[in-house]
Amino acid sequence: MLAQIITLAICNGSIYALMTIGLTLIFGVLNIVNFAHGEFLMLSLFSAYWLTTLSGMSPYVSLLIVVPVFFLLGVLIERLLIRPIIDKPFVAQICSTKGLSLIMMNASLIAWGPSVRTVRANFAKSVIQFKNIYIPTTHIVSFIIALVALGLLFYLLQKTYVGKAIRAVSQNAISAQLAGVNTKQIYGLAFGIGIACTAGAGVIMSPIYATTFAIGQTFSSLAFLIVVFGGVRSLTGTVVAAFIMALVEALASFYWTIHIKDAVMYAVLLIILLVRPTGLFGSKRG
Amino acid sequence: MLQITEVDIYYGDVQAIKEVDLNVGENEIVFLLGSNGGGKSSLLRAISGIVPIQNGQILFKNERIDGLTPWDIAELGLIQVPENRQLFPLMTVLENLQLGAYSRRARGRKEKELELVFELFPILKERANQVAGTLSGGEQQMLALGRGLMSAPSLLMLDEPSFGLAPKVTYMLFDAIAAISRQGIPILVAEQNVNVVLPLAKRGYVIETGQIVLEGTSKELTNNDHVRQAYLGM
Amino acid sequence: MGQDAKKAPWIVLFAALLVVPLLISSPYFQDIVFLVYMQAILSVAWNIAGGFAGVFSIGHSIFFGVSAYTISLMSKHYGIPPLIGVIIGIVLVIAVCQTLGRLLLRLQDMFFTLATSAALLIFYHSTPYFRNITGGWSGVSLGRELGIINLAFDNPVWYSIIGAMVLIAVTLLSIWIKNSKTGYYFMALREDEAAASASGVNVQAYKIRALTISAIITAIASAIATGHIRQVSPDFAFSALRSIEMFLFTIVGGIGTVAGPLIGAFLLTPISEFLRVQFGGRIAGLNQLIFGVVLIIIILRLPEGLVSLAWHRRRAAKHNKYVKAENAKINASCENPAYKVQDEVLEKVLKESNMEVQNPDDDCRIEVTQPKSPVQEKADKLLCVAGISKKFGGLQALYDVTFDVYNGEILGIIGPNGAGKSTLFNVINGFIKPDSGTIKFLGSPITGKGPHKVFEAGIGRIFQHLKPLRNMTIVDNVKVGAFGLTSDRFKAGRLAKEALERVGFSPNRYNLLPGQINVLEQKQLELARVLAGDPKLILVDEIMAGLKPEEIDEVVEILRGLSSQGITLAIIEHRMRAVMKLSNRIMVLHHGRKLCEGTPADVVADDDVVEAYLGVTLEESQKAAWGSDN
Repeated sequence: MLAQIITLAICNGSIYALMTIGLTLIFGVLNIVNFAHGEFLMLSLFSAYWLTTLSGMSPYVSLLIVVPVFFLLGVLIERLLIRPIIDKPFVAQICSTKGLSLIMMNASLIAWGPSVRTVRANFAKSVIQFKNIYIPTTHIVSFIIALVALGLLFYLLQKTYVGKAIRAVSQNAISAQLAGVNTKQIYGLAFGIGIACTAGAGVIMSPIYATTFAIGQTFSSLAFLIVVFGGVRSLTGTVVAAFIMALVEALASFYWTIHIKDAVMYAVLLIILLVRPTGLFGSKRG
Repeated sequence: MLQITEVDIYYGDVQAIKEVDLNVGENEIVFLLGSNGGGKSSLLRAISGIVPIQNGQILFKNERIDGLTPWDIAELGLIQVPENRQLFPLMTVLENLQLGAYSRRARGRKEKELELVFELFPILKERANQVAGTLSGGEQQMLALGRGLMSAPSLLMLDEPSFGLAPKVTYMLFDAIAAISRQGIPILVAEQNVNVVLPLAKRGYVIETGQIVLEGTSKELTNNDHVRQAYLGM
Repeated sequence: MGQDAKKAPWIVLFAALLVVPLLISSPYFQDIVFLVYMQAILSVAWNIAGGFAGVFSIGHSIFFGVSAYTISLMSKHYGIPPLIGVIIGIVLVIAVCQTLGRLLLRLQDMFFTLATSAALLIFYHSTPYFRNITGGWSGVSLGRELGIINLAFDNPVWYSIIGAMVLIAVTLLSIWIKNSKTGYYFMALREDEAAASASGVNVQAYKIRALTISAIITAIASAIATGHIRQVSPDFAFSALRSIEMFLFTIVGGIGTVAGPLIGAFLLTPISEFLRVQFGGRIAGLNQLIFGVVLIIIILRLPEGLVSLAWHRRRAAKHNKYVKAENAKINASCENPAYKVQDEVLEKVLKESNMEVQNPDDDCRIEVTQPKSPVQEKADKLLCVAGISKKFGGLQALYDVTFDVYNGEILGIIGPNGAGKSTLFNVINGFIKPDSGTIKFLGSPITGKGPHKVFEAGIGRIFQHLKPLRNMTIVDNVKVGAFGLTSDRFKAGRLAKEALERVGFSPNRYNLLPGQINVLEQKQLELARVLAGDPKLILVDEIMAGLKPEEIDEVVEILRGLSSQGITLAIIEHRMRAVMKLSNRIMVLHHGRKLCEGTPADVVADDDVVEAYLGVTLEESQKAAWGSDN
């Protein structure tokens, strides 16, 4: 039974990691805390829902549409809303992105109402058995897609020229400018990539979680929890923290009850912050 | 090459640079001598487009560059090695150097420039895969200089390259700067360490409280009482 | 006279707050009035922490909820009447606040803000879990017996009246705080934590104090709201939206001002209520969507809130007048100011150098302009620094630095950029803990004590990168230092003005903001802020940087004046002429080590110093470079 729980938690961890990594990337590069992060996730869940419902395509196929569209949406939002508040005090950032979050969440409520919607993947009911471990196929597929996406992101950042420029901007924006890096472009790009990752996570979550207008709130809390736990600027930290949090969540639900899992996760975060005020992989900077 | 006329810079209501005129010609090293807070860095930052100027103009290769973005200016080949190194501390030496060649102008020449940098600073080749933040002060300054060279500069601006370095290292570094200059790259070097900068350059300026107060050849300034007094403590 | 004029609008407002509920007969509008008052109280509460002290919480509903649940649970399970429950609630809220504050305020801004929201979610999710006690998601209800002891009234007007009275009280409290020592310390730590702590503010303690005051008011508002609604559920008590509204209203009105939260709440609550009623059924969420739009527009177009509309016009008018006067002065003094100034500088420079270096060929001559070393042997050690080492990563910033500062002297500390001078000051000042070594001031150890303790002990600090408190006037800046000596704001005002006089700051410019004064005045300002706290020793870090020669002379005179008044000075300086002229003794730091110390003449004669600090001699280096290059 425990093996089952842990395997499922690992699948969830990979989804959490993909869902959160965009937030980390955006904070690391733009120094902006995106309080509307969860709403982008919510919007991507709805996109997957509408695409699968209206056209009958598999949610996994809809990735090919949703991810590029959200990348462009991210670039656009960065241009309109984020650029004016870069380098502004934290208050300005929180207002701007929290404002965006309120708009997106309530626009969704107005447009699609408060009802709960579920996306059906064609193999929603199928389960893969390995000895005495039973894993829903959706989890396995989502796990694989999340790992591939994370791998692509790390490859992009570590190996490509643009990726290096993104990292350079996050470490020293002025130096990057002096070397000829157009930081404005990089900001837009990083925001777009961050949102695209989130959208990807949203789509692969859609067959697993029910979609409502308020789901962004739930998951943005979880994303913030993971980011802070992992050490804010560290992408590796985020991935590790995502898996740890998924395990904590699963174990708390298993040994205690599902109703208390959120409280336990936040308690674990508080404990970590007391021991390491900058999170698991955090550095002093920041 | 670089021609600055009557430039004013304000930070809020406070004037940081006042009617500065300065020029750098082909193949020459020009120094900009001044103490902390005198306005050296402000001027260099303005030339690179990081801070805006309020009056005057800056010409590079006879074209106005004030108002351009820093990356546009880098694309033109006007390259600054900023004060206090400002490396990308979590990236490797090689990655730092590669990023120096980010501009379109430099990317094609990347391999050639890299060879040149490694020839100039062999230690950087040894440490190519070390993370920049773990280098010693002297190596970091070499890396900063190397990164600047990777940008294929047609004019190089150095902001206080001697910052925090032991004298021996400083002299070594200034030898390298002289070598760079011999390859035909004009250099504007901002310094407060007279001992290294006066012998290196043929002529230069003294900047104090945002104004150019003296201008002349190194020999003239070496014998100038004010320079001896203010910068040599004699 | 001016005071009364300032008071009048408040008196009118307070009267209106009390009268308006009495004029309204419709229960619906009465409810709206009550809601507006509640939101206003909550926004004022949030503003005390978030606006005054910059303690930016988005978890304030914790305090609201703890109070609400205490009242209802005490009543349900122990039969304790709600009015008594309020008091127990406040005590509990204080306990929660102190605990959270201690835990979370160690985190930096953004971490703190996120952690407050995490903490709120713990409360929100765990409350319904204890279903037997808390009644799960549907919550607990309060009895219906009337009477103040039950916080229950048959006529809703009473809730509004109580709300009005509390609102008046907290507004007065907010005004009082803003003018008190506490308020000055709040604002100082909001503007710059390092400057605040070096001026005597115990940053952690005052942040917790701000949070606690704010939490208590929130708890009181919660008590009234609980009395009104009589049903406490997690969604009512630990509402994330309420936390957001608290800062939203404040920001829209004007964060950090007394009137801002009131304006925000008075304006937005009715609008929100109207939207909810008009469209709530058909278009749920429209009011929140509009909030989002308002928030974005405000922050992009009017970042200081609606209050600033009235404010800015006044300040801008004042500022323009000042700039005009200043320009007129310049125009009157010379036709071509640019050339004139440059010539003057040159002339002055040349004249001085001729005067002071008698023999330009003799490189190492220092002119000794005053009798040096009034130092009595060891008797008067003010500061003893012993064996201080500090490593940052791989960099040895300080290595076994040992020196003393004697009472009444001026000690110059020189060394190349990056030699560890500022780090040394940061260690003495308590910003950085040394890896090893001890520091004693007046015989008692101060190693590892916080900057505010070091300030209290009598050590002031001038930072190399000036740290003015940007949104406070000159005199208010200095008052922060003066509050180290007194809690009386009038006395602090007097001390501040005295300190400004001592550094020669022009009195008609006391009410400008730090962004409006010139560099020399900014240095005077920093000196005055430190002086106002009556220090025995001042650590001065590169105060001459960026000054004109005549301004340097002025600062030298100010420092000498302070020295003659018995204040000991340790100065880091690059301007050799100034430091040689000023110092009794000089210490040379190089690569984190003490190279030597002694009189200025000794130091300049020291071979090590010449080699390390000045490099090799000028002639040698010229030979080396020109010989090879040409």
